[in-house]
Amino acid sequence: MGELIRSAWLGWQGFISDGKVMALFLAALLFLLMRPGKTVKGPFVSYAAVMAACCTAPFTAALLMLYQTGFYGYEWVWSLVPVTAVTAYGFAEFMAEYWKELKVSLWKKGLPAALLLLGVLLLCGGLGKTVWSRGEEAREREHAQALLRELKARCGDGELCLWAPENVMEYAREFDGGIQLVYGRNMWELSLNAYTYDTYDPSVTELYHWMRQSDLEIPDGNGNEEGMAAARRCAQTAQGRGVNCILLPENASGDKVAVLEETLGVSAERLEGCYLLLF
Amino acid sequence: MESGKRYFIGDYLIAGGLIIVGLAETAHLSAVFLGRSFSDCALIWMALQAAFLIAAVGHGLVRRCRSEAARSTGKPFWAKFGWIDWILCIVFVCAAASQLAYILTAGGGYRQGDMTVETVNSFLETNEVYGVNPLTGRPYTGGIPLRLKILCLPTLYGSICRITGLPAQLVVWKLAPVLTLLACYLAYGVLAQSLFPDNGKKRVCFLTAVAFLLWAENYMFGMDGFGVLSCGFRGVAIRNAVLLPWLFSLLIRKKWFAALLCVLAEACMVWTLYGLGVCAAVTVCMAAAGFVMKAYSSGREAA
Repeated sequence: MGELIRSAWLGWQGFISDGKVMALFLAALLFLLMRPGKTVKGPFVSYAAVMAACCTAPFTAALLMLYQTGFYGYEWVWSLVPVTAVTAYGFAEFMAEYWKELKVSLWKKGLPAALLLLGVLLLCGGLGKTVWSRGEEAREREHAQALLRELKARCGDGELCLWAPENVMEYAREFDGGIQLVYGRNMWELSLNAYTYDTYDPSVTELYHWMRQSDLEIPDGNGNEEGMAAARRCAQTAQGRGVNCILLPENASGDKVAVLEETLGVSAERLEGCYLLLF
Repeated sequence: MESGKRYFIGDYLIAGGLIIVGLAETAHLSAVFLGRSFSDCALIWMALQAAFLIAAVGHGLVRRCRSEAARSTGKPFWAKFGWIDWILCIVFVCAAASQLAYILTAGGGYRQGDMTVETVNSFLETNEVYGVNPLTGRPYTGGIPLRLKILCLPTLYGSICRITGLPAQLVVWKLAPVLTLLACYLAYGVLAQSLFPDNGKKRVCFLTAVAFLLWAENYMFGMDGFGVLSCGFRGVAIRNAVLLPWLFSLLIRKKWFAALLCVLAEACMVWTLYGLGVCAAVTVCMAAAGFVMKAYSSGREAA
């Protein structure tokens, strides 16, 4: 429970750090609750106010996280609060009051206020910044798909079981459901492990780390006896796991490629900058 | 019936969409528990859907809409619109259209913590429901949690792929988010009708604010706007963008029975606590808030 409360507290800090939509929501909520002599629509706004308080206080937020199976992160407890609806409700009520029911004759008073409010509303967002880069991912996907298309063409109708760098493996299964992988995206995106009881054998995990080292050009002692042995062991593990296609990143050292060629009895060829071993 | 209390056309459209999701759940469960192939599953869904559409559209919906139209004698809400309101309408349409363009031009959806496309591809490739681990394409060694296995969205998307021949990426990353966005505005439109039953101007103002808010919220995972614009194919995004606004509109109008449909739909699409998800909690809490407010106001009146 303590861990959940801590996660709720940290979650709240993260939730308000990027954009200011929550501030806008609270302002709208205050406006709707505090208007003298005005009735709000049934329990809608009161519910939103109470639930927002529950989502903000760490203890109640932790309880709500428990209610949401504990699987979802803190940000999802805010699903219980109609943030968008209440903010837009406040916006509509404010405009109707300030601009006197949006009367055309009062446009000089109302229109600047409406534009200003729309501007504030947009400024409260992330100003175009998102948690992921669509363009970068699209480029990476295009590159991976070009490689995968070529691999599929070379394999023909035969099965393709692939061991490749992360940025190719990541897009393989969405590109073609027929491609098998020695390990999946859940190897590096751990939240995906919630979707399965499957676990990876340490020898498969070693394959992932070895490929990652090759991709990032991390010196791993390759060239010496230990490094050669690791490369040989990985090649054998991959073969034993049914892999019939290995794609090594262009950063991979010549020694590594040579060890794999020797162990698997095939010669590597260049494909879009990578080394391809098809067997 | 009071204008704010009756059902609107939007209600029927959203309910119809949710029933189609429910039919997909039926077909999905027949594959999970009876071991039917995925092709059978898609066929069952198509047959059920065809029967539903024929029954609903051909009979119930059209008849009901006609009778409602005949009953309503007032002018349409836009009859009182001035040019300011029309400008707001145009701004709203432009914002919604730009969101459609944003979804359609994206290379792919936000995939962090999600494997929908891989799952759909696995179903299509193996002709089985969860026959292999979607992330590797190999048989499961430990299996998949039952609470996830019963969720029907991959089967729904896969069935659309199987029937239309469209690729999984197109259905999951484009078609589903576009439908979610349209359903989202439908749901907020119904909510606007519930909040402002007799004021079309406020409704347009509300919808314009929603459109801009969705843009503004497209910065963080978990926000409504991000869900609709960047991962509208996920169950949680559909819940937040469609189910919840519609549920609030139903609860404001005290339509408790229809609210149950939201609870069931959420249980089909999102991992919940034995079916008790956000919709169930919202329904109970809104009912409690209504009860407390009523008791408080009657107490004040008595005093």
